[in-house]
Amino acid sequence: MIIKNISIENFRSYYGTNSMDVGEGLTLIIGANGDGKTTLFEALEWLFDTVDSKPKVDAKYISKKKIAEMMPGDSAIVKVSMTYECERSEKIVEKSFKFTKSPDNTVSMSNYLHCIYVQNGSEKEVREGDAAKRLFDIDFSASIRKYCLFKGEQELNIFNKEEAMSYLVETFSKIRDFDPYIDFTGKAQKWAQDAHDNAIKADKKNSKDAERLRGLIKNETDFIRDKSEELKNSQREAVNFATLLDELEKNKESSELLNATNSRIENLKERIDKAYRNISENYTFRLLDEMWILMGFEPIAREYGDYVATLDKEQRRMEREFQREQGAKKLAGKMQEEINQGFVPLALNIPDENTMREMLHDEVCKVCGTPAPKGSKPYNTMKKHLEDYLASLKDTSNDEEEEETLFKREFIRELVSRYTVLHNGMNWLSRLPNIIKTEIEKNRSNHEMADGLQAKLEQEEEQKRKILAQTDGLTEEQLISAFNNISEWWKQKSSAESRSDFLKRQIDEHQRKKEEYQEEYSKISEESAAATYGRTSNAMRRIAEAFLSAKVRNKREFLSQLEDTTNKYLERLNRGDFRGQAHIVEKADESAELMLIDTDGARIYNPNTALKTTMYMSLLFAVAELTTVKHEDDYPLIFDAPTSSFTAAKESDFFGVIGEINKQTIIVTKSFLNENADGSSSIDTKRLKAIKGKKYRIEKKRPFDEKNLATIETRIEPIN
Amino acid sequence: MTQKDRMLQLVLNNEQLMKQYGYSAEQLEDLDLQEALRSDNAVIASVARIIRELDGSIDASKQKEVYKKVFTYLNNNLFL
Repeated sequence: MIIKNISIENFRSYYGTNSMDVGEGLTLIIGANGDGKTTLFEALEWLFDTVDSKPKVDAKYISKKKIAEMMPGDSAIVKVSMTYECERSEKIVEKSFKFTKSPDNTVSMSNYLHCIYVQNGSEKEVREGDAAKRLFDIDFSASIRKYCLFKGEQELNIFNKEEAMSYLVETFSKIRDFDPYIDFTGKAQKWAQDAHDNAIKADKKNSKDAERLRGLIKNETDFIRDKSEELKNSQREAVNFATLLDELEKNKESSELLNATNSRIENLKERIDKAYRNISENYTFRLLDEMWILMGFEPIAREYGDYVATLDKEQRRMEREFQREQGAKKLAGKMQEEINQGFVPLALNIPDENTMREMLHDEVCKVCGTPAPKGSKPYNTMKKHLEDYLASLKDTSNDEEEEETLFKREFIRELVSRYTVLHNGMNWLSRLPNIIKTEIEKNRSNHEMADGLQAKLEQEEEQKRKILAQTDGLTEEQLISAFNNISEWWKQKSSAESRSDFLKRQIDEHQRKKEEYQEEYSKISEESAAATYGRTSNAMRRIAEAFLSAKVRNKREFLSQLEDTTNKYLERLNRGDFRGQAHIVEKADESAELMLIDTDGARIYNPNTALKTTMYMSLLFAVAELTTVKHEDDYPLIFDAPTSSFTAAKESDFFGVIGEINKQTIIVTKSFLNENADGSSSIDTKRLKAIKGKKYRIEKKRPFDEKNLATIETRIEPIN
Repeated sequence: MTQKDRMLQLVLNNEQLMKQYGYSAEQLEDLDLQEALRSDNAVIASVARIIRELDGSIDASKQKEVYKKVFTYLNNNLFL
């Protein structure tokens, strides 16, 4: 199927009719952002029915400019059509609907039409509706259409889906052609076997042996069938675990990074929590609870202390004065008493107590030198003086207890005692400003630390988001659980593989046994009439097996050829750049997978986007080349912006190679455009000249009102 | 080489078949369907008949018809 022409009428920004002829090789459609590249692609998706959710008719398909210029009651059509050639016949596939503007300026839609015009000699036949759909499916099968439209680079990832690869291989390797023959030879084998069995049954002589061998063959057949089923399950299990491990390997780096990031995040959270716990900012409470309010009170306390000390000193002085006065008064009273008795006695403390005792002991008055023998008057006078003195000592203490005090209340003493308490805390009070400063400083520093850690935490969380964004849709839980499950999966995979090997050996062994019995069975009738049927039945069985193994070999050969051709394109698309090697792996469950490997055969996980894109494209071109060489179902490849991750040099090489490939390829791109100062863009004609193929420019017709969709009109113009 | 020729080659290029029915890979070189139909080797000719006569059909009556032809052919020509 080769596209000849594409025509778009009143489809979204494509006002009026726009048409372009498509070359058999590369057709390049260049447009800047917002110029209608994706709209063109969507028009083809609508025509090809490749997006299930696309409605048959939709008001959003209608050109706003067309609606704006219509009068109420006017009608027009939206139409996308494609002229194509298939099996030397030219056809036009077309989708359209009518729209009418109502007096209230709303638009109604009607007359949806999907049809194909077939040129039949000079006649033009029309197929409509389901007939058109069926014919288009024959010319350009719905499943192939899915593999010909690629929007952006991400959609090329369809090859990650096993069924896509299997579908392409099965479709283009033609292995399905074997299926009717395999079905037939299987039946033929059974029919020939039945004929042989019946012939042997007629041979009474060997019937017992024949029955025994048939039983043995049946047992072996049943055993092989059961074990084959078991083998399939076991292989499927091994493939599943291998896929999981593969997925894990692909994301191993991400898993490790995620684990390390999570551990750092945990650590940071703990440190942030600790920093916040260390912050104690309840300053209002601390003013009173911790007496911070007294900060700056030290000079006042000291002044207070001075006052209290002065008062205390004065009080003590006054008290001493008062006591002296009181003492003198008492002594004067006593002396007066004794004067009144006729002499002037000595003061009671003169001589002192020891002298008086000494004088009594020596029986002499050492004041006047008079002897004073014991019992004499002087002796008794000295003795009484001593007794009076001793009594006066006692009297004094009694007097003091009863003594009148100068200060009746103990206010000053209390002030002193309070000052003493205050003075004890004075040391703390003098340190209080420092204590408060240190506390505030500590809190500020903890705040800073917490803020710094918080910023780091945000960086780590951003890093985590980036890691998760690169893991093919795996959630964090899946990634971590995958990482934790690795050893279990390896064990399960190895166990499934060992089981598969064991089952294969068992099946081979029983297959050999079965063949021996079959051989014996075919010979049992060698001397009878059934011999001929035996040989035929045997041959039919061998032929059936040969058809089966031919199908498998055909697939392998195709895959090998596909891999070689893919690598040829991969080399061309990555000239002078690292590319690895494309490798198609056939899995035990009969699916196949495309991957990149290094020279030592190690898989390259997560190649860069440009390399991945070229790998998938190489496979597409390889499939296309193989089908073209075989003159089978050729089909176009249509890409929308496939090279956004390419460098300018790689892009030029890429388009150069596509231009040389004998394959109809339509690429919609914003490459080859230089931006002008006024916001418009112009074609880089020098670069474009080197590219072979048809070239078109799609562009909004200027001027337009950038706020009014009804002024937008996309034009398709050929570039000469 | 047509798809049918290719299929013929792939089927006949089978070690068991070659060993049992006495032909070699060399004999298969450039062998096409027409030549195979004329082959003296009954198995080569039978495989060619199956490919030509069945022609990719899955129709039951067609299968029976082809079976009868090939069965009769083998009965009459296979002596190994």
